[in-house]
Amino acid sequence: MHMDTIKHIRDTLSKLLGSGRVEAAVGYEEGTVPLAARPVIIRLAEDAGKLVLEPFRSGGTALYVRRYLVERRGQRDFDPEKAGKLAVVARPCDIKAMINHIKEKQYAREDIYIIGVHCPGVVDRGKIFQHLGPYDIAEAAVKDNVPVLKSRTGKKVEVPRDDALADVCARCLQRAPHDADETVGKEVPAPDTDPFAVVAAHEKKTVDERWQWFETQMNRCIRCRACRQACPMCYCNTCFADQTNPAWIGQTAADPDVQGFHIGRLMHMAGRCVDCGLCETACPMNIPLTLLNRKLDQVIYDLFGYQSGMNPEEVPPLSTYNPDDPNKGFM
Amino acid sequence: MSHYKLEKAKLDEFLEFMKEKYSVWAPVRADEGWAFAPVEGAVTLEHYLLTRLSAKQFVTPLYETLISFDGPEGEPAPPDKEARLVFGVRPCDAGAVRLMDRVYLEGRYRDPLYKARRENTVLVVLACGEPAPTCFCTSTGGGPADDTGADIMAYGNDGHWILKGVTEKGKNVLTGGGPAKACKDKLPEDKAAGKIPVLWDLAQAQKAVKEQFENPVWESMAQRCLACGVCTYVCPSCSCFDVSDEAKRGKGKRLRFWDGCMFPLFTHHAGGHNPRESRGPRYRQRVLHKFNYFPHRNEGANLCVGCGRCVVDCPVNIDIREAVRKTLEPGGSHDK
Amino acid sequence: MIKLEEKSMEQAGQEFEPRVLAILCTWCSYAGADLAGVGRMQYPPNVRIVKVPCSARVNPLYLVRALQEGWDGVLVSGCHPGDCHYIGGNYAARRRFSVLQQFLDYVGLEPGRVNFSWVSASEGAKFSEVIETVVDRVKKLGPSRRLVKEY
Repeated sequence: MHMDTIKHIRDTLSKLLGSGRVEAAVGYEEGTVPLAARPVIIRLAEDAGKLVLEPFRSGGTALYVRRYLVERRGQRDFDPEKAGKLAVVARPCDIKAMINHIKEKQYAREDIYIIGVHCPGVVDRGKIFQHLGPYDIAEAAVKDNVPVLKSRTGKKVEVPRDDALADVCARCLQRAPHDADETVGKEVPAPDTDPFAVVAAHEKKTVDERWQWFETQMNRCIRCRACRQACPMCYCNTCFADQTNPAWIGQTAADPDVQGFHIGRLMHMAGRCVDCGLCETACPMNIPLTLLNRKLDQVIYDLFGYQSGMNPEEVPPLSTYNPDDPNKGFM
Repeated sequence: MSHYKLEKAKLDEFLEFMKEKYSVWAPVRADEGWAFAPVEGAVTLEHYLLTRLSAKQFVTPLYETLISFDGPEGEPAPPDKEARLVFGVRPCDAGAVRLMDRVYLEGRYRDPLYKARRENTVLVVLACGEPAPTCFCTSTGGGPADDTGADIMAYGNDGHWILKGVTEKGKNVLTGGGPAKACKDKLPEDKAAGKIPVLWDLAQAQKAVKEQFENPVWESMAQRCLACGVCTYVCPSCSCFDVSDEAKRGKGKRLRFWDGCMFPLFTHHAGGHNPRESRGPRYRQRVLHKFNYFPHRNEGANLCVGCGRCVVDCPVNIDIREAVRKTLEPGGSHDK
Repeated sequence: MIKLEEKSMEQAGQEFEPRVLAILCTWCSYAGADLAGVGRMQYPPNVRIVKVPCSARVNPLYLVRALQEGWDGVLVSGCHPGDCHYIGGNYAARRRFSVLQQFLDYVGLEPGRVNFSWVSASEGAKFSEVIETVVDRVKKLGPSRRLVKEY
């Protein structure tokens, strides 16, 4: 990302924190390993200088916004009159997640100050690892949107941009922050692609082939729940998958249990998923989960014309109904 | 004591020979990086350093049955006695397995399921040549050529490995014939240890983490923790488990499966109370367990083996090296 | 009490008889099923009925759970849209199940394992037809193997 963008973010936050207009800010700071710019919550104006904005995704900011505001509300000495705003450096997908949070009454729009960032997409670590393994990368940098890596033996590897770009970013149509108090970064044109092309491609396979794919991928799942924890929209106090008496699904990593886990979790995501790709980034087994989420986005869009996270006035589709809804599939 | 020499070009022959007595596993390239898989066809270890998931899955599998029952009748599951040979384990993973031996085989209760697996698995450990930037085994009491926990240790040198039988089990494998030939070669020099910087004095670190119990560093380090549990799952020495009964109309199983101390429900009591509800205490417990509680009960043996997997795989880059270093800073760190 | 037996009939070499779970809403579909019974209308005996107050009561996870427990087919039936005893329950269910059905198909579950219908209290004949159709579909698909959990 350009130095001017980072400088703008740092200056803005320094002023906001210094003047007391916001009480804390969620942004990114440099990580200790290559390809990591990790989330951080700062409270002091002088800490704004350590913020960065790398095109590597290590945790979106929306999840921290919700967590911060909800935990703050739960504290004994919380006084809503005195509570300050929370500033957040947000990519468009983070903004979508926050709009969904607002719809779901997690907090109010007035509680946050959004610094929206025009986003050309982020580099997907899993894809980089196909070129240079996770333990092989000694250094990484992005020059003109092209990741340049150096291996532990000193070898230099350049990854073509199209190879490195996260799948969710390649098909994202929402490159501009659609709701922000301030906007930074250079405008990026949205691609001219069908966002559901990947779903259509998967549906060309037969039912049995699709099951084969699903079974194979689910077999690799180790039930670590990283996908659920990284997701900004998964925040139930007790997840259905953790309930044991009675239990919806088994607790282990056995195939039927993880199949039930993902089907159940994704049904809860229908109409709520913002396609940020954090589930895939967090997965230690590199399972292509967004291929499943995308189908739900497509179904919701086809049936109800609804897009997640765009308009805070729009009611979530599964929380309402229309007498003229299609009757497809009912005898 | 004789060593054995195995030409690297004869690796496939060696593994085929072992297949007569063992189910043979080796690292293969997978979507997530390297993974241990049953050997089918040629094995190539070019650019191999570490598998994504550690070797602990061979002694403590992701899930296993403890008891099967049908109505009032039940019986313990038979221990898994399948003979396995795992080629390509790293010293950090093998060291971690040895640490788990202390928990499962040398404590007050001896675990028969773990024992069966451990006794029937041969670990062939490859000494490391070129460490990863995230390796720090030399700071946790180990090293790239450490043979703790190995049955056979393989030291790479030019176009061959020098194999050393470490345990009786390992020695018996080597004397059993095959492409590895007895030799009088000395073990090659360990060139990798010098490439892994030592980050701290281990004894000091073990003391400092406990002394800094009240330090706000735990809260600030865990601030971005997602409680996703990836660190505990990829860690070679994390062996916490959960037990659950699953049945349909009275017929079912009692299962044991991986759990993680970073999950919010880890310490959730039946009455609803949770002593470690927030992330700070959970993270503190994790680091202290690795660097203080376990060593305290085990003559200083550090439970973290410095493999670096949690550092690479944490989605939000919580770095255990950073945590320990912060507690060692004079006066302790107070960054908020 | 219902006891789900092993697939012993199949092992004995007889023709596969599927086990179908039907979740019916109290006010319309269950009454429709009752009417079919009172009117002595024949329909395949492979179905086991669970009564719920409204089709909206049905959590999609019930269907996943049923498939995991080995039911070969599932039917959820409610009042016709516009006639729900609770005004809008079946509208909500309609949205939910449209999404679920398409998602399960995408994931690779054979079409015909999960089925949905609207049957009113006066449609005894329709109810038996629906059961015929569903049992026939499931019979052709064979025993359920996807998503099944062994206990």
